[in-house]
Amino acid sequence: ESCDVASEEELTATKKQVMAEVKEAVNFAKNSPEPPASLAKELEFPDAPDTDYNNRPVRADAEAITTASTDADALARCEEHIASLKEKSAAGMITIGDAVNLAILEEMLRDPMTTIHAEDLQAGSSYDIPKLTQQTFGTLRAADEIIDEGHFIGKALGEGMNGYRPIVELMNTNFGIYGMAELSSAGNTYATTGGQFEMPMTIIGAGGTAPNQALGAEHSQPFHAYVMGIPGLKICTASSPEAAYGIAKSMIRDNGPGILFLPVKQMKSVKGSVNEDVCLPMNKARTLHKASDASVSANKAVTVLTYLHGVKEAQEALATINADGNDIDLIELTSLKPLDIDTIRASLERTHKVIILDESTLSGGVGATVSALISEKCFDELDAPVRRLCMDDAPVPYAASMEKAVVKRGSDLIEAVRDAVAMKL
Amino acid sequence: SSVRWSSSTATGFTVSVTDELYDDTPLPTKGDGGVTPFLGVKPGDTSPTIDSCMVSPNAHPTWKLFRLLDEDGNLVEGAQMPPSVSEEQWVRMYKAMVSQQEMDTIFYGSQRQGRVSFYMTATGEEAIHIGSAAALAPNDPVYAQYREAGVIMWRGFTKQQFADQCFSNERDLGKGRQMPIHVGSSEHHFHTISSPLSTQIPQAVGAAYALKQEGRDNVAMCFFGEGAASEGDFHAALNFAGTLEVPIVFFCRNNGYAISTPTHEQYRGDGIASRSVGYGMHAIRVDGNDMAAVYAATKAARELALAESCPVLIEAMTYRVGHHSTSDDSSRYRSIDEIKKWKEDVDPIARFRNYLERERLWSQEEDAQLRSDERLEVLKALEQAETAAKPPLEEMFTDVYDVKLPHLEEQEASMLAHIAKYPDKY
Repeated sequence: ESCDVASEEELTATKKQVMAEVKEAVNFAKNSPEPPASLAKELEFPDAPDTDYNNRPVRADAEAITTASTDADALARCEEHIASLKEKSAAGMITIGDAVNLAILEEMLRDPMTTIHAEDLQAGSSYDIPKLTQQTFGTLRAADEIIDEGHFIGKALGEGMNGYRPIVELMNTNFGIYGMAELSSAGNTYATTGGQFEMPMTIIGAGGTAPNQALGAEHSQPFHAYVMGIPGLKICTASSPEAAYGIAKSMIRDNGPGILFLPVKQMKSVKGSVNEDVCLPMNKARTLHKASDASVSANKAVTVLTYLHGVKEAQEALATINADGNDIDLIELTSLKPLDIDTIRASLERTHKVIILDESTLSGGVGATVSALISEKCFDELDAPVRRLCMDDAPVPYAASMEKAVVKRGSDLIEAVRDAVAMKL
Repeated sequence: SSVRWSSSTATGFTVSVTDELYDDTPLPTKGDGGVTPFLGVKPGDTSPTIDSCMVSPNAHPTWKLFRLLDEDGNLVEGAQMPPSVSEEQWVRMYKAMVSQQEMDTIFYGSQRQGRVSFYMTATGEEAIHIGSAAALAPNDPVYAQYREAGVIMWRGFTKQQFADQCFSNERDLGKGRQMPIHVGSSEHHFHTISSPLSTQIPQAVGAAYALKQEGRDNVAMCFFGEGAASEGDFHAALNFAGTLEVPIVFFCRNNGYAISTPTHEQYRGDGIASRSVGYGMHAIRVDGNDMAAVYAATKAARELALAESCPVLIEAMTYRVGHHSTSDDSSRYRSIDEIKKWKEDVDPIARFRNYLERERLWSQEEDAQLRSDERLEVLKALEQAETAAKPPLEEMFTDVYDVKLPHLEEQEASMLAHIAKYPDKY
C-alpha cells in the first residue's frame, strides 16, 4: 500500500504464477523414476575399497604452495627429522608412534591441503604422532585442539568438505566416544550429499585394550567395536610400525573418512621398519605367520584372527603352541571394515578351524561381526564352530588381578588352540 | 476454534494463530508503541545504526579479581576476614592444605618408584580445595573433575582411603575398578571421579534439579578446569542450569594449562566467568591462591544459589605447579622459571602461613612438626595399602547390573574355571 512497485492485481497474479511453478515441480518429482537400487552401494565410499593409493596424483601447484607457505629453515629441520626417522627404520628401530609421524610429515609435505589437529599437538601429544608438524607448517595447518573431542571431529568434517584433508589424532580412542555423532555424520556425508561432497578425514588414535594395561574402565573401552556399524567409514588397525606407516599414508590419501586404531600400550615399545613411500591397501588383512604344511596335513593347524595388542600376544604364544605340536596361520585384521574375508577363507581352506583373539566385548564386539561373517561365507570350510576369545561384558577393571581375567591374552590362545586341535568345543 | 490473531499482508496471505497453539499469554498486537512481539524488544530499544548495535567483547568490563590477602598474606586494604570462621577453623584449614600437599608429594614419589601406576597432584591449588570445601555443607553433593582431592579430604576421607584407592586393594570403595585418584564416596557426598572430561557438569545440574524438587537446603557443587570448560557438556549444562533455575555452584579452576595447552589457545573470551552472562547467571572471579577469599566467595555463591534457587559461577585463578599427571613432563612446554615464579611468589600455603604467623596463630616449629607427622601418616597408609589383599575376583561381575544376568553368570563361571585350572598363573 505504501509503495507503487506493483498493483494488487499484479501481486495476485504473481502469487498464482508461483503456486503453478511449485505444483509443476511437485508433479515432476512425483513422475520421476526412482533411483537405482545399486546407488546406495556405489555411494558408500568415494574410493573403492581396493584402491591403490600409490599413484595418486597431487595438485600441480602442490610443491609451489608448500614452498611459498613454509619457512625454509623449518622445512630443512623437518627434512632432517624425517631422515633420522628413516635411519631408525633402516635399523629396525622405529616405533609405531614415530612411523605414523613419518607418514604424516611425508603426506603434509606432499599435499599442502593436509592439516592436522590434536590435543597437546605442539608438545608432540602422547606418542609424538604430530611431532614437528606445527613447527614446520605453522599453527593454522597444525593446531593444538581446544578440548572438545566430539566437536573437533565435527570441525574436521567442515574442513574436509571444503577442500582440505584433515588428520585428527585422538590421544586415546576412548574419548572418541564423545564424537559418535560427528563420526556418524562423517560416514554419512558422501552418500547423503549424493556424492557431491567428498570428506577426506583421517582419525588416528591409540586404543584397544592390552592385557594388564591398568588404565581402568574408562580407558579400556573398545571404541573400534562401537564404530563398526557406522556406514561409509573405513576402519583399520595396525600393530606394527610397517602397517601403521603404510596404512596411515593410504588413509590420508583416501577421499573418504577413515579411522586407524593403534595399540595404546605398544606405541613406543614395538619397534620395526617401514616400507618407505609405500601405501598399503586398506582392505587387506596381513598374514604374519603361516602354519607349516606338515601341521596342516596332521590337522594340527588353526587360523588365528587378531589385531592390535592381540598380535604380539599371539606371536609370543607361538613358541608354546609349536611346542604343543600345533601351529597357526596368524592373520592380523588390519582392515576391520571392509573385512578381508578372502584371506580368511584361503586360510580356512587349509586349517578348517578358527579362533578370534578379540579385544572387544562379547556383546557387540568386532569378533561377533567377524564370527558371523565367517559362518555365513565360509561355513563349508569349518570343522568346528568359530571360537571367540573376547572381553567380558563387565567394565574392564583397573586392579591387575581382576583385569587379567577379563582381557584375553596369549595364555588363553594357547589353551584355545589345544582345544581346537583336540576338537573340543 | 477461534482465531486469536491474524494478519493480512499485501500479498493476500493470511497468518492465523488459533487457540490450540497458544496458552493464555495475551498476545501483543502491532501498533502498541512499536512492540515486535517475538523479538523481545522493548520500546525505544532499537537503533538504525550498526555502530550502536554491534557490541565488541571488549565493551564489557572484565571481572574484578576478589582477594582478601596479598601475596605476603597481609589483609588488603578494606578487606575483612569472613567473621563466621573462628581462628581454630583457619588453623584447621591451613593444616588441611599442608596435609594435602604432603600426601601429593609422597604419592607422586611412589608412582616414580613404580609402586603405584599413576597419580595426579594438585600442587599450587590447595587453597581452592580447602577454601571451597570448608564453605560447603558436608552433605552438598560434589561433582569433581580429578584435581580436587583436598575437597573430599576436608570432608574426612582418610589418607588410608586415598592409598587404598591408589593400590586398588580390597578396601577400595571402588572395588578396584578405577585408576588412581578416581575416588568417590557416597558417605562423603563426593561422586566418583570419571575420566572423560566435563561429563560431571550436566550430571551436577541434574543433582541440583533433584535438590530443587526436594526443597532441601543444599546446593550441588561442580568443579572443572578451564580446559574442560571447552567441552560441549559445559555449555549445555550451564544453559540448563540457568534456564531451569537450579541451586548449583559451578567452580572453575583456571590453572593456566590443559596438559600442554595454555589458556590463550583454549578460549578468547574474558576467562570462564564471562560465559555466565550468556547463560543467565551470577559469576565471581577470585584469587584461587588466597584461601580466605576462596572461602568467602564460595560461601557467598552458595548463599545466593540457595536464596534464589539459581546457578552461580566461580572462576578461581590459579596455577598448576605440578605436571598434568605422572604421564606428563611439563618442561616440554613451559619454562622452569615460570613454574618457579609461581611456586615462590604466590604459593597458597606459604601465603596463608604468613597470615597465621602474623596473627600469632601458628609457628615455624608447629609447621615442621605438622609436616613430619603428615609424612609419617601418609607413608604408613601407603605401606598398609600396598600389602593389603586385592578385591575378590567375583567383584568384577557385580554392580554391572543390579542383579547379575545369566550371561554374566556364565562368563563368571567360565573365568573362575579357567583360573582354577591354572592357579599358579593367577
